[in-house]
Formats: sequence, C-alpha cells, structure tokens
Amino acid sequence: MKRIKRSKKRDERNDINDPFIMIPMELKVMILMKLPPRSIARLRFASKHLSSIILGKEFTEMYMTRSSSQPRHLVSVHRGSDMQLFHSFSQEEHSNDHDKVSYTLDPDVRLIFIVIFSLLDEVAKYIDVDKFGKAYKCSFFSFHLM
Amino acid sequence: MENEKKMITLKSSDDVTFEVEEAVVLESQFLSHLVQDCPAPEHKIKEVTGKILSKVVEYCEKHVVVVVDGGDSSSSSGDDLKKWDDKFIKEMDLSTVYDLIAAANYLNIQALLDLMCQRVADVITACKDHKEIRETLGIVSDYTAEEEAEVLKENEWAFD
Repeated sequence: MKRIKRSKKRDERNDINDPFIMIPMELKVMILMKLPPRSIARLRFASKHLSSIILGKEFTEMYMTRSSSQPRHLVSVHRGSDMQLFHSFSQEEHSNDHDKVSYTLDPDVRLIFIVIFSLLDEVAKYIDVDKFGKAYKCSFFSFHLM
Repeated sequence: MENEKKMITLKSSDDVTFEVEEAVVLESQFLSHLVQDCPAPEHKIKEVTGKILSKVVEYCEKHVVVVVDGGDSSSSSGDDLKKWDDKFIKEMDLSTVYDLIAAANYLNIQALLDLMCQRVADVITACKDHKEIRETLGIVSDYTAEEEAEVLKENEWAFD
C-alpha cells in the first residue's frame, strides 16, 4: 500500500534478474535445509520472500528436526505477531563456550513473549532469563524429536 | 551378453543428441520409466537444453562407471567420485547450477540434485552477511530501504 511505484519496479526486476526466486519452493527448501543456522539467520535479511519461508512454521519444524544426532536450538522472539529475532544454534557450533547464551535487550523493545524451540529439554539453562527482566512475559516451549 | 550394451539416444530441446548406454539413462528415474514404457531408440527431452543435458550425461556416465567398477575397492572409488564431484561443481557458474537443479529435478536424479543444492548452500554459507548473499545469488531484495533499516535495527542487538 505504500510506495506502490517502487514495489512495482522491484517485481519487474525480480522476474528478470532473480534466478533464485524462480527455483520451485520445494527445491529452495532443500537448499535451505543444507545451511548452517548462522546462514539461515543472515538469509532472513536478504529478502522478505526468503524471510517468509524461513519464518514459516513448516520450514522451522523441518529444519529443527533435520538431524537427530545434532541437537539444534531455534530461538525466536516475538513482539505481538511479528517475530523480531530468529536465532538458532547447534551444540556443535557452541560446544565449549556457550553454557549459557544471553541476549542483552534494548529496554525499548517490548517483548511480549519468547518462544524457544529445542530438541533438548534443558534448553532453559542456556538462556539467561533474568536478562529479560520482569517486564517481559516469557513462555518457553520445548519440542522433542522422539 | 555384457558386450552388447544397449544404446539410447537423448535429444535436447535444441536438438543436440547424446548417445549413451542404457545404464547411464537408468540413473534418472524419469528416463528409466520413459525407456521402459516407450522402448524407442531416441528420446527427446524438451525441457533440457543441450548445454545442460551434456552436464547431466557427463555426471551420470561418471557415476555409472564408478558404481560398476567399484565392486572391490568401494571406499577409494567413493573418494575419487567425491573428488570428481567437487571438480565438476567448481567449474560451474551459478546459472548453470540453477539450470542443473531444474534438470535434475525434472529428470529425477536425486544424487545430482543433492549435489547442486549443496553447491548453492556452500555458496550461501561462504557469504559473510546478507548483502553478500544478495550480490552472490542475484537476490533482489523486496524490503524497502525503511523496512530493511528497521529489521536490521531491531535485530542488531541479537547478533554478535
């Protein structure tokens, strides 16, 4: 609804110059499934189209359970209905130095709830909940592969 | 019997022909069904160009040979095959990779599809940020400048 002129131009350019967008969805997902969490997080900022795939429930669940031998955590922080943060890390990448992962939050960011997907039950211990303070209502959800 | 290998001709969309052994064709699920259902000596593949079909044939020929010959020393031939695959994809530009993804998907050659998707994934993994990903893959951002600034601002505290 805003910037109609500009988005029209973008659409035209998409068709001609964006070969990635032309790849069928299931193949895009196949490529995304091969990416490490860090790259997934970066891809989110590359385009809204990719962001919508990555943040989609279907992909999130598939990505999370892609390997049972490699525990994978996916952390998403929501504000209202908009996801503000998408972060994922695996045990492999943070084997030694991440007994605890903490996010220092900008107090202006009003977080409504935090959803944590994890293959491990003890995920809560990786997150420093105190950092979020009492002003934030936190919910934790754990999912198990088995 | 072994000496009389059945040959099949594949013709690309732009009428380039490739004569290959039947075993090579069987690497493709799509083509093996086609050959079974329609035992003609020549098959036209309208969806794939000669340039891409030559790559597909090259890949399938290599993989058939190794599987057939590799009976005894399967591990070393597996390594050789991996080296060959690495060389095969390194020589390729991304647009060829995209075309091969489409072709491998259409012809249903799972190993080739996997290899090509892995190639794109490796390219993305090597990028240090979203801008480099855009440039490398030719992704056109559909974020407006304001939206992008907003998304990045809201997320900068979350990443190192």
